[in-house]
Amino acid sequence: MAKKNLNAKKKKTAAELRQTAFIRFMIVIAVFVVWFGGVGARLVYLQITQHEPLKEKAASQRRDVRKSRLPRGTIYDRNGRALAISVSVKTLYADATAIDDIAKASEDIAKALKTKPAELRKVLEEAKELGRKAVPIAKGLDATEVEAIDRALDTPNVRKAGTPKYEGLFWRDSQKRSYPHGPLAAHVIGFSDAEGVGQAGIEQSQNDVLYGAVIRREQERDRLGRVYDEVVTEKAPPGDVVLTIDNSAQYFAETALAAAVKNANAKAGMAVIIANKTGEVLALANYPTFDPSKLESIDDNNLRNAAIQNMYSPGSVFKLITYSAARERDLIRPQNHIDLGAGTIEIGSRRFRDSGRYGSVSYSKAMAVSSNVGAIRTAMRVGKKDFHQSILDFGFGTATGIELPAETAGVVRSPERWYGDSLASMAIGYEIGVSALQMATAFATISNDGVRIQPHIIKEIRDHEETIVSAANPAKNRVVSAETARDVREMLREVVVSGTGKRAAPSGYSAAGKTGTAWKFDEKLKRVNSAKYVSSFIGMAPAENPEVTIAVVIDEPRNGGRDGGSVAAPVFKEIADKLLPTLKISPSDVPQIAEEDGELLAETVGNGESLTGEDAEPAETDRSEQEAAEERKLRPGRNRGERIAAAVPSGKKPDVKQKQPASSAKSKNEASRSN
Amino acid sequence: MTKRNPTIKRKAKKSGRGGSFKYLLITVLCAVLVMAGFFLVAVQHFATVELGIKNSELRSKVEELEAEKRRLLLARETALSPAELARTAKRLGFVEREVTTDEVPMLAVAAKPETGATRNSAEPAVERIVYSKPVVDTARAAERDRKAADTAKPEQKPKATIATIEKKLPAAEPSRSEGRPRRVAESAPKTTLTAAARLK
Repeated sequence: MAKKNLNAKKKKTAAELRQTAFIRFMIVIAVFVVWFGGVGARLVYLQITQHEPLKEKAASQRRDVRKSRLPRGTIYDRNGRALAISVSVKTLYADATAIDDIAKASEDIAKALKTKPAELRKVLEEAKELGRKAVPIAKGLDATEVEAIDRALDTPNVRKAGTPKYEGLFWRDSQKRSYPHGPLAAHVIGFSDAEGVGQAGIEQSQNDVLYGAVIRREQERDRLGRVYDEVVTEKAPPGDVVLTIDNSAQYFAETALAAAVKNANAKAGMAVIIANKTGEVLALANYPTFDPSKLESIDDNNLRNAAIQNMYSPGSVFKLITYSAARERDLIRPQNHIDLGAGTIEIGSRRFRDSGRYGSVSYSKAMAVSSNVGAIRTAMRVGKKDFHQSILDFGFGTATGIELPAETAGVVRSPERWYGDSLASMAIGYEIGVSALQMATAFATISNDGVRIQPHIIKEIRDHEETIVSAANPAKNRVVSAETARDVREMLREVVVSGTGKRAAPSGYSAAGKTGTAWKFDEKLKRVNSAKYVSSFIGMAPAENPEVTIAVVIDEPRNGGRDGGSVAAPVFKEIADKLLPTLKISPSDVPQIAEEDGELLAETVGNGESLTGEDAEPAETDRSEQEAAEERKLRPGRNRGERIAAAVPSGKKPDVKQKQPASSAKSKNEASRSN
Repeated sequence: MTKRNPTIKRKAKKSGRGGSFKYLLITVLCAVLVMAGFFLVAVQHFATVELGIKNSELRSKVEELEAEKRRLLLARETALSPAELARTAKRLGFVEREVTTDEVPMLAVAAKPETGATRNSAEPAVERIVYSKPVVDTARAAERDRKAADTAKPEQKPKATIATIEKKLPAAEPSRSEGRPRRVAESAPKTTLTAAARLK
């Protein structure tokens, strides 16, 4: 019995124990359930309700988004010399909120940058108040400068992945456009602004090719700021532009032009060199010029690319078109004779003069002495419509299409709008507006056996892997026959051998060309001003097989001889002397030597004189009253300005007379002296 | 009364102990596998991070080198610009003068049927700028003459008068003191921007 009771008691005790253990176990379970439940609930709250803001917060702590621009494309010359190139530079930024002691930081940074700490302190304090995290401290620093600043700011106890090892400072990459040749070809290359957008020249016209796209980099950084993951938004790198410009030719043209403009105390000058067989522009120079690296040096006076953007009355160089038009229609031959009479011709109510009495001379000689009478009589034989057509055929009145911005088309009026004496005026290069490039192209056409090749300045465009994506394919069209071109070249050669262009003869090479001296149109007077000249010489060399055409235009020369033969022809010679050997052009077998005997032939200047006395003498704005009076005395009745009213109605046949001047010999001497 | 069979109980006890050991073993194995997996993933993760850091450093190095290449190209172009060459030539005592008719064939000696204006751009271009030597009326020339007189050797007298500046440097460059045609190499400067700036 007792044993039974004991067993029962034991059983009861075991059951109680099990019960207790179970309760305890359940309590533990409950604690765990509550614990895990709480954690789970919190996780649900954080991961579902607070998902987006926490995700953003986490990403912002380790992720860094940076935008940078790919380097702008490079501009090369024809020989692969870089004319404009972008280089990486760095900008030092300060996170003002991360700097504890602004005063000390200002001292340290100013010492490293060699600037005044007071200004820096003011900037940083203001930035800290505003909570700015990226304050630019120093911009456009190259690798050497960056290295020096990093050394100066190195602080041993600062743990950072990047440099400088200074709390609150960091570098950002940027780029700087550099022009290693300085002002060389500045008007061709142009310049780009701080945003990397082209503002002039090729930089502007080819901005789409050269523009460096903005790329976005998403970087993930560890606690030390090291990048361990990066996602870059890919963009196609910009292309490079290869120009037809030859940097040596450009240098020769610019130095010769600058010297001539300074010597003549001229307002400006332009020079264009064209490769005749390809239409490539080897040089295009303007003076005054600017340095694209120094944007502060650019102003209204030097920014304009006058060689393509300005138009002027070309004067006697335009006789090339007159004689070409006549020769093309088989109206003249170089060796045929023309009677220039006493050197005066009256068309309508206007009298045009030569610088002397030449009598009966060959057309070559008429061109050589730059006879106005000869050119006018030749144009009369060609006729209005044909002459106008020839002008258009040579490309005047329309832009050449060169790949530079704001090119002028020039001015060519239709024959319906011509006055009675317009044909005569245009035959000698008045009543027409041309650019230096258009005029050079016309000469290049004659040099290239009558085939006009569209002048172009871009040789090719390459992508970043140097694959050519676009190559120049200029339009070609025949303007005159090869025979006409050859005969006209023969006439032009006479100009350099025995005419007004003797000073253009280069050493060791033959040359052909034409001088031009024209009154300049005065914007204030609204007519030509006899006190202001545009003097030019456009020629080709070697004469027997012309490789290059060189055009030189000097705007408003004031010192010494002001005609094209005195001012522009020597510039042609200087350029040709250096350029032709550089281009490996064989010297002429029989070097052309200009005739040194006798005085330099003077060129007749001006668009004739009005017989009705309607034209008023323009104001002599550039010289003293005494000088102006002296010139009037030296050139009696020379200028009466450009015709204001139509002397002969359009369509009426002009009245052509030849008249013996009262004292032609005297006029010749006077003209010679004056030129 | 039920008769107990101790053998069966013992067997059952035995088999239960063996089964739990087996389960324990499997659990441990699984845990080890999971741990190993976790470990492997962790190693992979840290290796990825490490490689990412290295990759990023190399990428930035490539960018730095490309930037340096551009800087060197700029330095080379600056040092070889015609104006800079002219300045350097002047500093070295060369003077520019007009070329005479007799000298033209010497300058255009390498004349080819095709001209520079029409030549292929792939063809290496040669730049020539004409300068003349010797300079007779400068202090430099006087000093040079005095030194030449001191070490009087017949072959040290000035010979040529036309000098060219070319792209390619010949193997044996004549000494400037000998008054021979001066040749300056166009090859990239050995040092960096600093050297170009110094040259400038």
